[in-house]
Amino acid sequence: MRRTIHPFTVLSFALLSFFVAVAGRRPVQIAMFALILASSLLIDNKIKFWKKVILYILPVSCLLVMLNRFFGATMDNGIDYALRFALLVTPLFILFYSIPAGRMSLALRTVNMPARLHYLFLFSLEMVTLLKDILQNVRIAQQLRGLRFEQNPVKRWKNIFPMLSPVLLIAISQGLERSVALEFKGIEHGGPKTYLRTLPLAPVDKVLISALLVLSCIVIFSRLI
Amino acid sequence: MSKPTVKQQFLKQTSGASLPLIAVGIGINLIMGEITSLLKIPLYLDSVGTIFIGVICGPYAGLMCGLLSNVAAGILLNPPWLFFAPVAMLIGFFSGYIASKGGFSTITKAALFGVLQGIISALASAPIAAFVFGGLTMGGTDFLVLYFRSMGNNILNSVFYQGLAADPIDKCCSYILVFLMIKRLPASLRNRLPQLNER
Repeated sequence: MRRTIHPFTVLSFALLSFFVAVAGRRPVQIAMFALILASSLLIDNKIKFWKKVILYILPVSCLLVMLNRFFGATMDNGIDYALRFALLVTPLFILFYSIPAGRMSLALRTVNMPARLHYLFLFSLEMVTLLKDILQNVRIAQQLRGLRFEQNPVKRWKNIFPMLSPVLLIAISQGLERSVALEFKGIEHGGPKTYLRTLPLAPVDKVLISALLVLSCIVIFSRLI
Repeated sequence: MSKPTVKQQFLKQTSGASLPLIAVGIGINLIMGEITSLLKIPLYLDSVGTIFIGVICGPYAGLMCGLLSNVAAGILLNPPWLFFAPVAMLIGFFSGYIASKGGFSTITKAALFGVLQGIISALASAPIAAFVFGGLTMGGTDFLVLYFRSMGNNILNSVFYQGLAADPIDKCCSYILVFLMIKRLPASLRNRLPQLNER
């Protein structure tokens, strides 16, 4: 079976990148960015990631360099901004494109995260999809009742109520029903919980996380000295 | 009876019926973008869910809703949203606090506190937008940042002025919207909402 990297390892990698962006010197920052791009070869959504790099990270970085030059700051200033932006944002794309939400949730179970927070994280992701479906149904229903979207600005504002009110009411009702189910499930109970599946750290992940955290500390101290 | 501690208040506001409602708030935040583009309203209104939860469940629930909204938006929409989580948390907490002090008793009060919230949001988001993004977020308001920079302001000031130009209007409208939504809630549902009935 192909071994996949643990979400916490990727998170530690993103943390290292954050510290390099904030406290690292330029050669270290450039090396880190190269490492991030190289690490993208390990993720499944390579195309999606490179699309973001080409259509978002690179244009913004180039714009930051050009605009700083244009508005009187030095080129160096612009490069600093561009590198910082790239180092702060790119690892997040790696994180979210390599780790599905379900896998992240499994990982969170291993660190004794309170059950209510774990549930909230999962349910909020689920709720977005649910509300999108409700919104779609409400939009069709209201259009069938004669609601028109192409109207003057005042009417457009008024249209927000026939769209938002039913969505909100349905969502609140469902949420309150869910709270009863949660009570039966004993989610408020403070004792230890058992889960069918968890995602424990493998020895390799432990070593990698430790190394990344040590590197993060070195980056911070090298700046302070 | 002694006043509840911060921890007790936090646990109370993020448990029971509030827990799924926070998820509802997160969902509302994330679908507001679709509603505004559908109705062609030139505002974000992406904090309506957070403000709503702050008002009906309390400031700590609003804070959690703000934090998790940005985490969810980071996962589902665009990862850079994560950086603005502190601003969203501030919005949730402030709206809940204001509501507990009677700030949502009339529409005028709600509108005024909305403007104040907008100024606070602009103050809180400016350092993040300037430090992380260098003032550029690839959004429509980037032109305002460029305009202020062309007038000789530095990045931080330009982002702050851009925030001042956009946020108070956006938050004022969000507050008014939440005020009207709460007034329109049917009594049967209002009776089941935790904090709303304590006031």
